[in-house]
Amino acid sequence: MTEATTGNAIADRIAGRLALYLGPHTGRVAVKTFSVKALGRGPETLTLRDVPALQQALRPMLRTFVGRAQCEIVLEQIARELGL
Amino acid sequence: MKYRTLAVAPLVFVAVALAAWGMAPVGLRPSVLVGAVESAKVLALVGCLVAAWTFEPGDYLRRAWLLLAACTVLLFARDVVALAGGPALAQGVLATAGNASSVVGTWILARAWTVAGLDEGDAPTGKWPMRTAAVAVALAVTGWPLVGDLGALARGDAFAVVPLVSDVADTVVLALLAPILRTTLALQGGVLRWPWALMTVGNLLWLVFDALYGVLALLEVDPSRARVATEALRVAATLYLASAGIAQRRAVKAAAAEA
Repeated sequence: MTEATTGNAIADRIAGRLALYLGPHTGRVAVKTFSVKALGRGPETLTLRDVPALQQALRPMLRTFVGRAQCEIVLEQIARELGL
Repeated sequence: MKYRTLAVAPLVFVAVALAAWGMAPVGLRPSVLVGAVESAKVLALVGCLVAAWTFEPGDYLRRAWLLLAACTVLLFARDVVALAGGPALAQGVLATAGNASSVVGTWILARAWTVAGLDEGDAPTGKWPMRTAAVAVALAVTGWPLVGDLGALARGDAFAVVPLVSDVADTVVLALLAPILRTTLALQGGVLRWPWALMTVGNLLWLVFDALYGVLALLEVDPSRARVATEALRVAATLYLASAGIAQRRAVKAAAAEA
């Protein structure tokens, strides 16, 4: 049940991973934009169950900037960091 | 190669080229400049191809880098034809095709932010002031040569089409500086800012290059009198494209390095 109460931590973790490439501001903007787009709610509500949908939503953005191969590596790193 | 090295390398290259120019006998000086410009183009081609091959076929930015590589090849070929005293028509065709490649490649780069879906989080009015300013600056810089080339065309000089196309291409590319600069600023703090920043510096140098030509035309000064300055700018701008390409690979591969 702790997963449901760690929304911010999950969002911050994902934003932190994206920040390596996109910078901290755009990393946070990306998590917010694609959380709302994929889930219909803000990143503060994120649970581990939401992560696959968020990853799916992040995929086109990451593919644009780093290409398909590296995009999958980044998404895998996110999943690994979150223990998925 | 470190990012900061990539940022400084074009300036070092230009400094070395200028030193060689200064030390060369007067008769050899034009050859030194030509050598520097053509070497920069070869390096830019390598940088663009390195960046393109960082991506897989079908990847969005691969197309942009391949088009910038095509632009470099075509302009290099134009120079070779010109140096060999080849026909003006062939030079014109190569220059026009090169400029077209540059416009489309830069357009793809400029749209990356939108294609990535990141502008959905932007304020709708936020991008217009910068875009408007960029178009205004681009027209201010290229407007005078554009008017001159249109005048030459109107007087029946068919070959004025080539510089006219080049001026139009410059205007579009300079106007696209706004979305590229915006992407660069938004990526601040991330490794991807490096290729974008180096590309932005290169485009800014092209802006200065075009502005210098415009000022010379306005003052009715023979451009050959400022050739060292214009060629130094050309070399630096071209080399920043090379640096951007290598930085693109390094930044994208940062993920694999961490995996």
